[in-house]
Amino acid sequence: MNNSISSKQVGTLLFFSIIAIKAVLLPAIIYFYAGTNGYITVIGVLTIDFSLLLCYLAIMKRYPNKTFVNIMEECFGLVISKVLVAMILVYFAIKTILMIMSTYNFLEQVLYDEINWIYYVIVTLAFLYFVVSKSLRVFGRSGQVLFWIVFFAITLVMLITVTNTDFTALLPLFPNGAKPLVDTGFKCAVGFGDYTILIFFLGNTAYTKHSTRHIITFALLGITTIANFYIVFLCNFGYSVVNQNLAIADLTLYIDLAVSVSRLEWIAVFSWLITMVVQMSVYAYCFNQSLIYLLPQKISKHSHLILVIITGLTLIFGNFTLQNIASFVLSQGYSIFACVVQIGIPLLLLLCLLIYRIRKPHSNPPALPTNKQAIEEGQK
Amino acid sequence: MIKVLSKLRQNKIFYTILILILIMFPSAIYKTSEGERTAIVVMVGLDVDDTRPKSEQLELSIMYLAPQSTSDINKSYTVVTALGENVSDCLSSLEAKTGKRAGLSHCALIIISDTVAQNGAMQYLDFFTRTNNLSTNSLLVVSETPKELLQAQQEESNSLSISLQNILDYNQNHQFTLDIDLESFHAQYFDEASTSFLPIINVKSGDAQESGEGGGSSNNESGANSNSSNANSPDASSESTTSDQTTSSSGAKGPAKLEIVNSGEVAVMQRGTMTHKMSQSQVEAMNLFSDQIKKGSITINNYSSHSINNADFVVELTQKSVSYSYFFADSRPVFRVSLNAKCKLSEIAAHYYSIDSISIVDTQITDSFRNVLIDKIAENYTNLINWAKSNNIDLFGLTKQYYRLYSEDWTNYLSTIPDTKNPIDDMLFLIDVKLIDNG
Amino acid sequence: MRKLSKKYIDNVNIITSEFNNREDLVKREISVGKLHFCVFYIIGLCDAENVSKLVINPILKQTKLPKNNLLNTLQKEILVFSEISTSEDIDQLIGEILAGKAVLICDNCTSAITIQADKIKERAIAEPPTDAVIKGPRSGFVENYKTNLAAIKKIIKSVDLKTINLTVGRRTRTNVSVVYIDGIAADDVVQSIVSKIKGIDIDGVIDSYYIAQFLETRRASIFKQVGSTEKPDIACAKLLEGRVAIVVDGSPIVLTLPYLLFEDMQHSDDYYREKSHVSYFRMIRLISIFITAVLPGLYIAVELYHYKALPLKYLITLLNSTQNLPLTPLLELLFVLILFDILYEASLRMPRYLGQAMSIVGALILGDTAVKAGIISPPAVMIVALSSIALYVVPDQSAQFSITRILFVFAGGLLGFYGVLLGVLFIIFYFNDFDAYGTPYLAPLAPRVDSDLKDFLTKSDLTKMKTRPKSIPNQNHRRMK
Repeated sequence: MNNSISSKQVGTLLFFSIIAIKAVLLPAIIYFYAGTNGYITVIGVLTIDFSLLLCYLAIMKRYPNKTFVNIMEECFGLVISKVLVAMILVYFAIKTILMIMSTYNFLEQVLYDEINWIYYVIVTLAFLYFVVSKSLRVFGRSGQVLFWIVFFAITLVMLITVTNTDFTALLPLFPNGAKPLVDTGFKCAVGFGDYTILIFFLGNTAYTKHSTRHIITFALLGITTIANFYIVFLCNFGYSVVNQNLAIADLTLYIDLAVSVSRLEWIAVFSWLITMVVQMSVYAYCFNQSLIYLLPQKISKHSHLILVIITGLTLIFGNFTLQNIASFVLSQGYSIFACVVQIGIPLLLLLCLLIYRIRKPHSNPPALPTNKQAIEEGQK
Repeated sequence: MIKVLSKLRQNKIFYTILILILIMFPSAIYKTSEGERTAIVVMVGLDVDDTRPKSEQLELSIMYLAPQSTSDINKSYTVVTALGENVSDCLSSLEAKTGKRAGLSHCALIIISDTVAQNGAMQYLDFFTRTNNLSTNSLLVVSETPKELLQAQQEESNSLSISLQNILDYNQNHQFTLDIDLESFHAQYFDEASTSFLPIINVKSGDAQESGEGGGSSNNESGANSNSSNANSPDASSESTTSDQTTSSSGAKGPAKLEIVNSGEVAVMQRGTMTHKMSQSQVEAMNLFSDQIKKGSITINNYSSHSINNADFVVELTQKSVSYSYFFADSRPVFRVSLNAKCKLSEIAAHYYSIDSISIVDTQITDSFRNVLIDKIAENYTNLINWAKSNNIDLFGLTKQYYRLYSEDWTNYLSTIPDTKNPIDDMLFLIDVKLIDNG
Repeated sequence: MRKLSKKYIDNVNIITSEFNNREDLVKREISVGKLHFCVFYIIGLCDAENVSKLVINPILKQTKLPKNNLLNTLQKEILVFSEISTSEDIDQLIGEILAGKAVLICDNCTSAITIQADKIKERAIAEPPTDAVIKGPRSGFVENYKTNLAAIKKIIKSVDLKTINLTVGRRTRTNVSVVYIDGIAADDVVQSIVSKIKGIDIDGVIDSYYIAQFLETRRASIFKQVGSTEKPDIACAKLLEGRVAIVVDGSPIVLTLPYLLFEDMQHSDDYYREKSHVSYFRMIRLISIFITAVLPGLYIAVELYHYKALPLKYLITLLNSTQNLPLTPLLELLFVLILFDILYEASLRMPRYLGQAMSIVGALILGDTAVKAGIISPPAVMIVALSSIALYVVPDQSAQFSITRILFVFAGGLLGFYGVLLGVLFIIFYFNDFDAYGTPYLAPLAPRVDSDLKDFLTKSDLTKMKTRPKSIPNQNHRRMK
């Protein structure tokens, strides 16, 4: 199975990763804890995350053919590698469940008067069952197809909303100091760590001379979009922003055009729903890949079935609600765990880079293929 | 068994889809349309009567869509009322009455009565801000009798009737009213010092209708209906009127037709409570200084020009642009309104006209007349500001703006003034007017 | 391989016995001196008159023929037919007789002469019904593969145009030609196709679709995987892009590989019209595909779950018109869909002289009477009618999308917008995993191939399309300087 994707495809998937959950549940929570300067928290954490992206890119550029597991095994041995992958498995399992529940919450509140939970779980897991067994190439291509639709829809909604926005609501800056903003950033770690999915892109990306530029461009696009969203959101809702647990669905309520054209917010709703389903699939893919590594070879062939069973049983019999899941992921314990994975792993990769350098001080980096070669390789 | 499993494996997608359909089809096949099971509410009216028992103090009226096999949209609406302790209570009894679930997704207007506004509107609007059902951003309007306003809207049967929708559209373009939608109103409630301005729209009874003209419903008829319907719902009484029950007997005059009246007044809502009403003249003055309204007019009474004596001159201001400046001078907040507009003499009301008075050469706006206009605008501004100061009304949202732009200076200023609840009292208000002749 | 023997009588008996006394086999024995000849052919497939005039008669006119070098003499000095060949393989000779040729067995010769005297009446070249153009060539392929090959060779006059001739079908021995341009088509693609065709072991091949099914990589899929065309100009254009054409005897449909989903949205006369006009209509085709597949599903989703999605005026109209129907919305829509498909099938099969009358009855029943009787609603009829019309904007994909739309109706009816969305995403993921013959199914959209986007949804000027499509494997990218 050809698992190779191009850097532009990586970029599109990163874009989805950056914007997926941040416009649904997170704004109300961030503004509740951080106040009206919550957007500064978002921009700050995104900036930190962006620097972690550079760690991933460094290792991708230097060792384009080595997967995460290869690197960990070579540097730290099999046991530590398995422990790390187990942590990653738990991390992505929680994220997958959170995404599934957030999507259900979104559907229940915005699109449906009532939606059967069991049917939703069955259909979603059936979809995930087929999708997680696909190669990374399929995800990359699907991301490319959907990216422009989502990007233009969101941009259109934002542009229209911006015309009616009072930007003075962003002021004053730091009325209570910077501490609430930092605490909120830590507390809401669950909504960030967008580049953690790159763990499974290592060794599978057709890295060329222009790849760094491509990936950074898409990442910046995502950061700009979401930062803009938070700013416009605050400016439109003001103090009642904490009530908006489904920000994206409510954003277009203010504009006259929405009233005259009617149901303009549905463009935003659909585009965000696409993002959430794609992101759910990516998280499930990462979950599946971790399972494949950890399970014995005979059983790992059926990893997607095991994933579906575990997730299904957890969702149906776990008696979870979005509220208790949200309180769990906002707890200090989970925040620490999330930070370890989100920040620790890229730093660990940097350490591995150093270890490799120490072990082979004079080796030249492999020549990066040209774009054309990479495309051809990717197409095979 | 192995053959079956291998067949399943080869055609995974087909069998998965088949199984999914088989699981869900039995429930979906008998599912009826959502619209048939839902009363699609387009307008809501809230009124409170403190004289009634607590369990019946709130009167909730809804106008909802009742589909009929007809293409006449106007015949598709029904108004139903329920009494209860709170909005949820009233909606439950309405749902029991109509046999449909209340769907607020198309609710475009929430009408609150004067009493509700004076008691504090947020306690009644809280339901609408929390519900996920309401996906449209509803407009808010104040009316003396919300139920009658709904009935009047329902009775609007032809294009010559005054339509609430037209009035609201007109107000949005020609009235300065701010934060009149539910979300903005809700947001402003938490911004302690800010003020919302809601339009006031009332209803008056017109002349009784002749038979055959298509009548409206009257309270007498609805009273008769309510007697029969009361027996059905012991917990909450409810009345309903439909356009189908409105035909009058031939040869007699029908019930009085309700007419929607846009008084041009505005309700001033501070912290969700109506504290004052602005008269039409005050509203027109405020329209002049609003940056949302692009037009205005000024009347100079008893003015004499060289061609006409003691006449009322009406000047139309077009392409009006208003900008606001916020700054501090000697630790005192200063607010300046800069008004630029083109002006055109639109009307002269006089007892006697000479030929010069209608000549285009002679009726240009002279410099002296322009100064008179500017003085008049400044006078209107001063009157408006004095009224606002004396009633502690923040017309321009100044406390919010100064807090955002100069938070430290503003905090210092608040600590120096005697009455922190009326910070605009010590502020300085300036106006700068530039008028250009329209030619 | 069974070879002819030197004994004339043995050869004649072997061939006669192979045909098992078939009544339509003609065995014409003639003699010149002591030399014996026998002509075999099948009535109806062979041009008997020309065989008599140009084979039998010239031989009979000879008084003396050399015993040695007989075949050479016959070929060079006596037989008048332009296409003759020799063979010593009995099975091959039998195949030639069955293919409509005449076979001349000669005394004292271990080879026989095959004479190209086949005369099969074929349909005249006409404009294909599924590919009409306003401007541009109108000729189409016919059932005779030689005529079809000639039509291709008439357009591509290059020595690099290569043909690999194969025979498929134990009993039908259908001629299949794999056509490609050497130096443009990728060798591995050609070899892959040839080996797949050679591996077909089947009784008979009646139409090119039989071959297509063996060339598909995913047999269980409802989606088209092999391109097809009925027009020589399209086939040649595809050959020039690096594709391989497969011409099957007995079928006017020529297959092309590799196949891209979006190639069916490119109509033949797109290349013969103004580009902005073409770009506009390609957008219309894309929108039509969406309308066909997804619109009925969206409609049922809105009716059952998402009345909130509709603006009030449309909602009033919809609710007013769907009042008091006996069927639930999902059943009603399925009923109307099936009704339309019945109408479609009936209109294909019914005799022409009944066609017009039955069309009126069908339209009246569906469009007027059923709605007035309150059995179905006008919106349902309108949605399905729109979907059905849009289906034939891209007729090559009508088969797959007519099934897909039913699946979307189920998706929308069972789970609303979310079901439809999952369906769309599933199809996107599925297509992206659908590579065959080195070509991604959704190219040039995914993976994005910038140079190919010039001829994708919008069409650029021909002067700007200097390279062949990179989505399709080919050896020589440059086609214009």
